[in-house]
Amino acid sequence: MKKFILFLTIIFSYLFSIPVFAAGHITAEAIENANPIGQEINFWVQYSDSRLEAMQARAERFEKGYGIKVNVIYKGHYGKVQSAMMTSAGTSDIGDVARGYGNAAADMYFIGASIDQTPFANSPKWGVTQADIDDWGANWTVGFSPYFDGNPKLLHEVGKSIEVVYYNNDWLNELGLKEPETPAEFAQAACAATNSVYSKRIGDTASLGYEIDTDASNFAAWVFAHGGDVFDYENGQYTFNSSEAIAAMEFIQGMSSLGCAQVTRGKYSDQQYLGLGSVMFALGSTSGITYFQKAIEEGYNGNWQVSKVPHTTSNPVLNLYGGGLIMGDTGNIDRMVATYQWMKFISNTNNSAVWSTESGYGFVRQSSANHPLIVEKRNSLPQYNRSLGLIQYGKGEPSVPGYYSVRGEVEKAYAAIINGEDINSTLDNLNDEANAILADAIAQ
Amino acid sequence: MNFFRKYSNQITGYIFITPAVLLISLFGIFPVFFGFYMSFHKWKVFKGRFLGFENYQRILGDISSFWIFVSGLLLLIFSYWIWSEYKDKIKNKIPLSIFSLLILFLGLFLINSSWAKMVSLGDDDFLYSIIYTFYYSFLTITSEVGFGLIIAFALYQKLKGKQFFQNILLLPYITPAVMGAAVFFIIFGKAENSLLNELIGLFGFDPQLWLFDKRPITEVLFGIKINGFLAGPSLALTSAIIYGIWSYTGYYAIILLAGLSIIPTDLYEAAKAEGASRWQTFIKITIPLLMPIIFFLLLTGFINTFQAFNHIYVMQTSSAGDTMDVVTVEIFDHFWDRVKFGYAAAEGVVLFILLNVLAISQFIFFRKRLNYD
Repeated sequence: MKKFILFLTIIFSYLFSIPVFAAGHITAEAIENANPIGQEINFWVQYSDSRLEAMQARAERFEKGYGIKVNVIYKGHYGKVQSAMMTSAGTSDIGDVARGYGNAAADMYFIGASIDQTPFANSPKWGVTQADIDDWGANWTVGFSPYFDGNPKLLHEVGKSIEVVYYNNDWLNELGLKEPETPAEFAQAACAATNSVYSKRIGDTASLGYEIDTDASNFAAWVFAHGGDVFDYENGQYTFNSSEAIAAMEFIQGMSSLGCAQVTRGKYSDQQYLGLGSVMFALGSTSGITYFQKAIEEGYNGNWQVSKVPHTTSNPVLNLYGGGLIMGDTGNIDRMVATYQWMKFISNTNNSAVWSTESGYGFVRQSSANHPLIVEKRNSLPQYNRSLGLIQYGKGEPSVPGYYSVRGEVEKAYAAIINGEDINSTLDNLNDEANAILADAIAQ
Repeated sequence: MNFFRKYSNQITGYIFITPAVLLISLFGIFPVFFGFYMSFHKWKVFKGRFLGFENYQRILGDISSFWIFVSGLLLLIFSYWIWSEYKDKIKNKIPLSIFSLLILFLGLFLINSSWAKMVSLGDDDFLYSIIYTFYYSFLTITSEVGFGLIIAFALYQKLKGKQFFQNILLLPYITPAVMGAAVFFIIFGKAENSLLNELIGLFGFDPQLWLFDKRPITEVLFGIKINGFLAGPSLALTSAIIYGIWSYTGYYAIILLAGLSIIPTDLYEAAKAEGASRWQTFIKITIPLLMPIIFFLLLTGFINTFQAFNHIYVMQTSSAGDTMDVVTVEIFDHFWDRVKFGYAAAEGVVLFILLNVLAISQFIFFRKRLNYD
């Protein structure tokens, strides 16, 4: 028995002492001398269906032109992409590049899963030109993270989307109402819709003014529209219990208590019921514009529109998503340089424009604005055209470590408030929890 | 050479068990020890600094309270053990009863006081998740075994198409949990025209929010607001419990049916000759002789349901709040979403300790009913 215990001890000691994968040193010289040709890289994405196919087709064209093979792999929603990247950190199995937001990039960078893209961008041989950077404009600088020392570039922007209101234009006209500009008008229209039946409704589902997807972005959108924010960068703390957040939730709870709004009945059911003509309003990202279009065309097949989120501020403030590309640390400089070539490729003028028309995301290169495909899409889909015009009012959610976990807490608190819980205490608890998660995420 | 000749039998034996020992050590024992090791460190993907008991301190609030809590549980078991062990051995049962009751109350007092302290100082999300897990586990297992027994007894009778029913019973068990849960998510939808709401509507009941309702079941059913443990699970968790029962009852019924078939028929014939009713036969013969199997099902069932995850995760809704966050969901959340490997490992260790207490308690409760030779 003693020998057996000794044997186990030796085995365990050996296994505990195995070093984790050590990343290669990324230097300007190593980058210049790298050879990306013939490399195979993995691109982890959150989209599936036609978008995935479109990206895979792009990867095939890239391989023909550059000799670099790109495997575009669906990894689930944004949270799953992030988790997959983080849990494979320190191994060569990590995705070479992944889709994600600034907060995910910050989380990854914090544990060494993602890398600063600056040395690759600065490479004379493999990097980007000043003309490119100027063309990206603010979409280039937003990828830097002042949260960390050295202001690393963690995100390479490839698309922009904003949270907008999708609504049934025909039904609103039937009610004799105009597009709501303020929360009060929105609530009035939502209640009018709840108490009426749209003439082209499909099925017999009861009417509802506003079906709320209780996602954290929706919460933030209403707080922004009420002139507030959910994070104070100066103090490095969440502000979920600010007076603006309370006002936003009072507005939402007010509609809910009258039966004019309710928590979504299931995944994408807001989209589905809006398409069937039994829901008047839904909030969603402009990146989902093609899905709403499809739901409506297959449903009541009438007029619909996107609009800014009704606001109490003098100018609209809309929740802006700046999803981009995050480079994983595979420890192989050739693969990393190959990855950067792919990132440059999919965000060049042509591909940025094509991707925008394929996905509904806004383009990130100013030079893409006059691309024939963009012009054609603007003309053929007025809602897309309008959504591009709203991007200027964008304001981002926090790009701080741990925000993904905080989003889960926001979702629960938001649902609780809609279902009638006390607003002040719920938001106070949420704020405490969120700040505790943040403190935990950045603790050494 | 003499050595090998002398111990050839033993050496051969060791050679034969070596692959099994290696595999069990690597995939069975090593992860347990590694989990313990991780729980003492700050571990965010990579191993960080040594924390000692800090993770446990944050989870439990006060580690000594946790051990008092465990001691309280053990005292409950001990009170039962001492009663069941000596009640037939001594004539005057009053002192024994008083002693057992005193231990029982002491155990309950320790559990109550230590729990309150842990909740006030520790990670209340995790601690409440233990309660939600207990609700899930207890209600699921007792229902599964109860319904399984009834179904098995029904199938034990001479029925036409018995084989067909046995096959049907296994269908829920072999249905992948994620798929089954996704279907139940639709059935238990909150829309007025969801399948279940349509069904209960036929009987004149109002539509319910099901998976979207975090109110305790006692409030939903009886309209009474009870705080604390006695309030019971939320309607949302109850919906997940119903899924659990649907999923496993058939499997339990098949196992119990196999148990029924090995009970000697002459016992039933003798009972019949003595004039025993069917109910008496069931209580006095069937149940006692099935007890080893029931014990096995309860033991494995409790351990499995304490680790239930897939379907609960799939059926979660934001409106249910935390009420569906059973321990495994909590651990998954900390491990996968928050990337707190060390913290999640410490939570796993706490669960491991509680499962051991559970296994001990079940053994004590059933030990005298396990063998009728």
